[in-house]
Amino acid sequence: MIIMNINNQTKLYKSALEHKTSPSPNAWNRIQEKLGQDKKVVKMPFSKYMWIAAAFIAIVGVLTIFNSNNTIVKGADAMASTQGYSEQIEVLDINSEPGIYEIQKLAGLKVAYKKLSEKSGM
Amino acid sequence: MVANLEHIINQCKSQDPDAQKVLYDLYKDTLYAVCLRYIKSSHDAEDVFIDAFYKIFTKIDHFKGEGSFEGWMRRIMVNESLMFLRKKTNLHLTVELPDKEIADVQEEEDDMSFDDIMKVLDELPVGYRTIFNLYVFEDMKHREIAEMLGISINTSKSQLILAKKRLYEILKKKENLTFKIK
Repeated sequence: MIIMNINNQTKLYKSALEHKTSPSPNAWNRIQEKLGQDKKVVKMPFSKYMWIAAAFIAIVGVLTIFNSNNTIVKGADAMASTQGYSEQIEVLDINSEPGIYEIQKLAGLKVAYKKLSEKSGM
Repeated sequence: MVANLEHIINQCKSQDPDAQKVLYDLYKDTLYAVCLRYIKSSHDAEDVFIDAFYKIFTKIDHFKGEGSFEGWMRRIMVNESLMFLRKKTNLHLTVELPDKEIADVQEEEDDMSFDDIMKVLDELPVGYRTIFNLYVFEDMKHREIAEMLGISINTSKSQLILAKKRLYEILKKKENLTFKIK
């Protein structure tokens, strides 16, 4: 059977709670360094993801703009081509002389009429 | 003081460096002393102290206000010290002897002062010193010590008695030497 001196043990425990020894002055600097490294690591992924997100948004934005421009351009081209064909026809009509037409011009006229009719749904 | 400490803890949870410094200054001496009781070399003890304080600052969110904050920090210091001892030294504890009777501890052996013990604590083998620290200075029960160290309760008890006997012998020897020199 173990007989322990409880009073002394309590005294020792309380003494231990109050016991103090100072670490070296450099200890705090070392702790700060560790914490500082930790903060750098935390910062990097966050800013990296921000860059990736920003790049993604930029790419999507550019594609959207490009796509919408493309649609406008196509529309404009269509308009222009229609107009072009009309002009061709007009030119041919105004400048035409009765008689023989150049074959290339005739072929062009034919294509132009064909496309015009397609567009107008005839 | 309590309200002030609560404020400091909350600021530390926000990783406020000024609050961290205040907390460090408040407790550094007490907590470093904990590490020194377990680890012989002051250089190693300081390394463990730094790692433990780093853990305190990074895991401070885990403290939910239940129990003493100082007690929570001390446990971290003790755990880090024990982890160090497991890695660096052979935290060898004698095999349990369940059939052997545990000898009575003489009252005089048990009446050593804190200062006397601190003078000779380093001279104890690491196993004796660890259990002595946990039982006497951390006020842990043998069941808790056994769970923490992965030993049996009987081993914890026998190690403690052997530690006390060894401490007493060392102190007596020093006293005799001093007496002889005088």
